[in-house]
Amino acid sequence: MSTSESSSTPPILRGIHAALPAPLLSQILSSRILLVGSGGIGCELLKNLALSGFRHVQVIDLDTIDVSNLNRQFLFRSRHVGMAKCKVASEAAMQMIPPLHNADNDDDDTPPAYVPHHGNILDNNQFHVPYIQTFSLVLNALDNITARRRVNRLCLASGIPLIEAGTAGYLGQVTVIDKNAGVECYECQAKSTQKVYPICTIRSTPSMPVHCVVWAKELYKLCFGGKVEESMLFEDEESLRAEKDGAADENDLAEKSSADTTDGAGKTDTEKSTDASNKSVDSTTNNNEPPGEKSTHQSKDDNFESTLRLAAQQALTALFVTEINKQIGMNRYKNAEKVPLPLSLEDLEKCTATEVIPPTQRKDYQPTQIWSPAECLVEMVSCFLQVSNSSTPPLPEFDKDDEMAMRFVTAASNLRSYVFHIEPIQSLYSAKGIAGNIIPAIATTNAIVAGLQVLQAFHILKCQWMYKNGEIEDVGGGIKKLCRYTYCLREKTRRGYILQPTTLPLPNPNCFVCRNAVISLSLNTKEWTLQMLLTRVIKKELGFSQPTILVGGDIVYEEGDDIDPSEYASNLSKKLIGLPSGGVGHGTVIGVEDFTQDLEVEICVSHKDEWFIAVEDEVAGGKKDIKLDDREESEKFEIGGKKPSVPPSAATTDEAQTTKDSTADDDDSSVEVMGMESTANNAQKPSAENNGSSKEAEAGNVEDDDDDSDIEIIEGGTTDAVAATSNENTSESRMPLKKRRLDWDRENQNGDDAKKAKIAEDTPAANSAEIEIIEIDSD
Amino acid sequence: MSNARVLYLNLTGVTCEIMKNLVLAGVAAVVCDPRPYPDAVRELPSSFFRASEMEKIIADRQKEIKGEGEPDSKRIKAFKTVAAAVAPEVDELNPLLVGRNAIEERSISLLPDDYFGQFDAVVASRLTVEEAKRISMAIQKHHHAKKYADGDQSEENTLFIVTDTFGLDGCAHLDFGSSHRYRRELGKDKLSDPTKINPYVSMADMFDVPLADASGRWDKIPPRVLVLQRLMMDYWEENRKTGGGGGDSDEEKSKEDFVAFAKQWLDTNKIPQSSLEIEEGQSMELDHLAGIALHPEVSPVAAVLGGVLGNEVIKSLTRKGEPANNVLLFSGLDGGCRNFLLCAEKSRK
Repeated sequence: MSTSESSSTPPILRGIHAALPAPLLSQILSSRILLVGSGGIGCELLKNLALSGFRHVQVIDLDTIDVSNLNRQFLFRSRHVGMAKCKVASEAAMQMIPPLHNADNDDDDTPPAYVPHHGNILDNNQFHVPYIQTFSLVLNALDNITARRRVNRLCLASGIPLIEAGTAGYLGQVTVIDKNAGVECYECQAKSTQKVYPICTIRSTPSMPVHCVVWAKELYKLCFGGKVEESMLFEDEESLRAEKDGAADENDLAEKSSADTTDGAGKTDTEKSTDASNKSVDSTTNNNEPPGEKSTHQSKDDNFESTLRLAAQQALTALFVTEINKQIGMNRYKNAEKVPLPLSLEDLEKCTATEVIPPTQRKDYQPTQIWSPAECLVEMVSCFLQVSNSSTPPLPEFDKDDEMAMRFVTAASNLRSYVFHIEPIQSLYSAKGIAGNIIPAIATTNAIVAGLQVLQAFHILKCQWMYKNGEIEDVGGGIKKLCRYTYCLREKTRRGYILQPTTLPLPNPNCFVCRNAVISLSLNTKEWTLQMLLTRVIKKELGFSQPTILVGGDIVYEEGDDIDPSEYASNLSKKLIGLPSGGVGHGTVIGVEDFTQDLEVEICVSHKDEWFIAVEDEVAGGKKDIKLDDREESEKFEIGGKKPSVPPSAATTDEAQTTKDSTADDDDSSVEVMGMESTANNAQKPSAENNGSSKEAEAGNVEDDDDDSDIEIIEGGTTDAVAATSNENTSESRMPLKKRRLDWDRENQNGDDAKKAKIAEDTPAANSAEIEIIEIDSD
Repeated sequence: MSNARVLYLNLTGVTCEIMKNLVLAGVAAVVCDPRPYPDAVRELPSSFFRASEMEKIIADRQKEIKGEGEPDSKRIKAFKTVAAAVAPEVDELNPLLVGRNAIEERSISLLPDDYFGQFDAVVASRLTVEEAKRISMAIQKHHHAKKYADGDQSEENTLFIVTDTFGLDGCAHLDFGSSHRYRRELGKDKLSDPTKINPYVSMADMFDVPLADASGRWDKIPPRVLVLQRLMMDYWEENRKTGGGGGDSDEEKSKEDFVAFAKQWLDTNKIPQSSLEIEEGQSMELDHLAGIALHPEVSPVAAVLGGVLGNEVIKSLTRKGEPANNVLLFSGLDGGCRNFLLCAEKSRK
């Protein structure tokens, strides 16, 4: 670096100029970065990017700023509440971009631009493969699996490197995904998102607070949801009768079925009660009065309220007395450790009939307080009253951020816990943790992973620059060598690592997403019909035998032994662009599944209407020329990538099967709870010939940013964190993992697979298993 | 934790990151940095300082010196310390802390010995070895006296961190205090009985360990990043004395000076050249290192180490979780951060 170079470099970038190989700074200045998510990690990333000299960044985020974001997402202030996160964050980061000193700097003379897109990454019209391909690399700062998978696939299909990161409490990880590097993609390891709870546990034999919270969420749906039949607590009369008749012979089943019957009946009472409340709303507001004017008619109001109170009392009696007594009467709990104790009718009457201030309206109210049964009852009544008195209908689905919904679920789940002697009783705050699977996000962890992501970005840009200069043969190879999968741990490893880098894991050979199973296909979408696509490409070229074809998540074609061929026949003659669900156009991703082969691929379609073929021009002496392709339309297509290989179906089927069976003991009736994955699933992940380091370190692998101070729990490590929050007993299944430790022989690590990772006594899983969430919120 | 106060001595990328993290978490900040703004923080990548604003001030000043711009006597007089410049930014970051944050515009040498022990943590950057030792002993003395006065009941401690980043690397020395007790996290919701840090080495003792002896089970020779921090600390001290390096002084000359200084320094401290190897056989060129010594700040490096050290401060305040005893080494090339125990041969056994 000469003196003149140094003085032309903006002062804030001189450190980067000195630390990195000379041409990298100009690579940084001219690169184009896509950032998906501008929450906790996103804010940190934007700051790091701006202060590192990145000048062209686009930010996609759907969210608006909430008060609860302010104590971590440091680019936001209270005046920004309600505004689009990506806009505020981009503007704040723009302020930090160092100005370039001289305009004649030919590295980059376009003004810097951080462009926000207030939209959903799932929106294929805006964010598709051609769009992704305009970037040097993509940074993920997301809080949910759906969006992560989407970006993963977009990046794989585009051949653009993706730097993925997630945090949960004190744990986090950063990795680089790149199709060309031949490394693990986001979906190489099954991201089992759900823990399956047997429905009868929820409905009849709860034993943990989470069971009661799940029940309360379903109750909310039943009481306030638009479609009562969507609640798992709902059962229609007909199916009840059928079930009863069918199971009449078998004593055991009969018992269960009648239990369900009474269960359903109990809920039907609830429905009636809520119906009653709604009707009374109708009758009081029937005289062409807007609901707001009700208060002027005092006497009518009193009447109205007492009707409501009576209805609420009936509902609560049905839920916490009648129903429980019925279950006890059926000897359902004769072998149980504790027999549930219904609420006393006296208490119920006292709490519902008269006006008592509910706990959340008291002056000294704190969300961490524990409510008594009486307080829970009063709180529930106040929820019913609020719903009936309000002119705006309640949310049809439970939302942990909805104040009324959260009060309702806290009170209802705790009443159930009291009845079933389940401990501990949850405060509203901790119930929210269970209901929304919240792990309080920790600002420091976000800062760490965002910093690590930008360091990985430096590596990728270096590889891209070296490739451009012919120093390396391909970018992917460089990425594989330079980039690291880094774990952020709570407790140090045996060698003292709290940030533990490992070489990027190898892909799962069965990964349908990254192992050549994302196919790019160019054709004329205005001329090709679904029939042509089906016979020429999907069957002939890709070897599907009984494909199901999906566009925009909807089935447009399906075949199989027990499928009526006429159902989708009308689609076959349609042009691709004219198919349902928005049609197939440039950038559309078609899903193709074939259960007979256990094969699932995605086809990324590029529209191409002009085709040329090379011809030998004899006159010019063998010189090649091109002319318009005049073959049949069905011959004019191009498939990029390799054909998907058909994996031996046994292995993957088994895997999927065990995952399901491991937790559900009631096959046909189970409830899936988002994000409460058991670590048992981890132990069953495909033990492909993957390298040891990734497998063993997996339990330390945690997901998710906190976008909203909360995260959905996805993988093993995170599950432990949830357990810490929700006071549940964690399963013993993670113990074997705890015994091991990922250790890393750093002296021998450099890109040498053979020496890569050694497994010693305990993996980072041990650390993740032992973390405790400490809240560092300031408020 | 809500009453905690942390003293920041000299703002750099990494101390700004620690401060940002802790202020967001509700820990009040006292900033001591009497250096002139914006000159002292011109190369500092932090959300607290805006490059465009700093460069404008400097450009305006140069115009005035040349007699070009509008004569504006007010601006010339408006000398501001870094502490004064950052104060409103810190307050703005977390309005709940307004009134509890403070600044200190005296230089470190003018601060009395009993000043440092009043804080829950002292986070310092760009210190000299002598300053670090003095503050360490002052903190020890403060808590010793307090303990004596309280009849051995006091559990107060001051975490003292001396940290710097240089290029892609960063290092921190951490002294949690001899009286510090922490509870190890045992699974969910369970904590161990209070545990002492073992072996405990005070900051002053850490700096008294001859660098050549700084080895350990996994380090046959002194770790590269530790060697670099000490080299940088001594070089920056030398620069401050001679007024060389940094700023707009002759870059090439400064680099030559550094190379000469470093060679002699390695010699004096009996550090083998191989200590500077990133990988076996791949040495770090002293010339390259010179550029880093003159321009040490890299934003993401400060972010990562600032996050890690923020966690260590929280561990100290909550007394939960095993602290990093007593050196943290961060290498940005692979993103690894690990703990290293720096102590004399005797105490290790």
